[in-house]
Amino acid sequence: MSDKKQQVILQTSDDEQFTVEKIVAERSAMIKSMMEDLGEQEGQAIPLPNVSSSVLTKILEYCDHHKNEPLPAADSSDADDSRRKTSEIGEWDARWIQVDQEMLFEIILAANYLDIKPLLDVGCKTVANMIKGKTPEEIRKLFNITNDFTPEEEEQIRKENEWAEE
Amino acid sequence: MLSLLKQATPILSLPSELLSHTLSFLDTPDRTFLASCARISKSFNDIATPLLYRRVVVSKHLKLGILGSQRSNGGTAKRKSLLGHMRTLVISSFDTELCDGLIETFSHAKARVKTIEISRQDAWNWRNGRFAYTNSSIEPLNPIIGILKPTRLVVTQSTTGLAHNLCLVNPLTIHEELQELCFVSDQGRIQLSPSTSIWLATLPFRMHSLKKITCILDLFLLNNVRRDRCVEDHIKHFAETINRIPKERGIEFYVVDNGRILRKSVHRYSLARGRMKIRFRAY
Repeated sequence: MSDKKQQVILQTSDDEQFTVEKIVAERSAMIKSMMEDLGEQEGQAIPLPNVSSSVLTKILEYCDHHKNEPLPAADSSDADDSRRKTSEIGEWDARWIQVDQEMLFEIILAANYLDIKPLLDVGCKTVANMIKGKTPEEIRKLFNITNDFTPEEEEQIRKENEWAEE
Repeated sequence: MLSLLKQATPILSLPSELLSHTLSFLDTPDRTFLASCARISKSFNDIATPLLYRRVVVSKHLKLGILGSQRSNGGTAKRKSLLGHMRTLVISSFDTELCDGLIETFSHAKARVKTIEISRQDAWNWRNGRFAYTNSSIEPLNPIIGILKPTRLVVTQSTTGLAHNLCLVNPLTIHEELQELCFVSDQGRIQLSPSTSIWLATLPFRMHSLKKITCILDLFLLNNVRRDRCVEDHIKHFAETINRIPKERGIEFYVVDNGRILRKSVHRYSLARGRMKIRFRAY
């Protein structure tokens, strides 16, 4: 009897349905509040029009691994902003997020949409760590970004920010 | 069409607030990461620049960039907008030319700097198996503090003695907006003479705007600076120094590691990894 209550159905953008443990789905603050709104309506699928099934599969792995950890407090973001931010990532998370760039950015977008703050941080930290220590040209290559500065503009910016260069 | 999609840049598919959140993890004491981001492209520049200028670290007068002489760098409007982002100014050298450059800049474009951090790397030198102190004058900094009137003044251990002089010598330094005075120890000992301790302890009574005095032992800095002395030793020195300061209203002590507060300490301190317990005597 209680088994049914512990589960929730999620429907992705490509119309796939996932039956998920409630405690896993609750990692997403967005799904959690939707479940509260839906109440006890049996078998009602929660639509996730911005998340594809491949990304959701990946994200559910993360949620499952972290399901027993305390949920972050809703207003925790202000408290740590004043402190120095570290870009350290947990060992399991670091291994889990070894994916191609396309998937990485889809995870970040989905984490933002689903409102899973720790996951959003893991994704953003991963990108930050990829940037760390690289020259602008190396970063452009890595992410396939076009340099839309004229050489003069770029030189101007380099001169302005000279204080920051080692 | 499909190949076009493949060539698109996924990182630029992030909305700017997510890109900004990503780059905020590069907001480290090392400013080169954000400086590189500012040069990638126009959209990266828009996001990285405000983050970069939030904390400006100056060390050489030849490399002041837009903070330098008005003549060598055009664009007053640009300068004003960049300085508008600035909240923390870190000065790690007191040479006269550097200070003159900053004075000139800040007298023309007022910045809303909340915190000035003074850290001078070369004040202590490792010589003959011990740290030797190179005395030098902090005086060139006085006008900068006077112009910017920060609410928070952070002084690292190696300059604590100088800070004492600075506060006594120049009334501008202790201005009515100053709310917090913070001493950071990066070498495990806060070098306070008995007279400085008394000065520090009576400061809240003489200065009504001052709400807080903090002393911080940063284990992270410590690990980077001197690995050859064990952490327990450093904490012991720290505790001993604190014991010499009369406990008065508004003085707080922290032991932090990489920005994380391990202990907000008043009376006693137990080392996180066990072994040693230190009791901070209460006066």
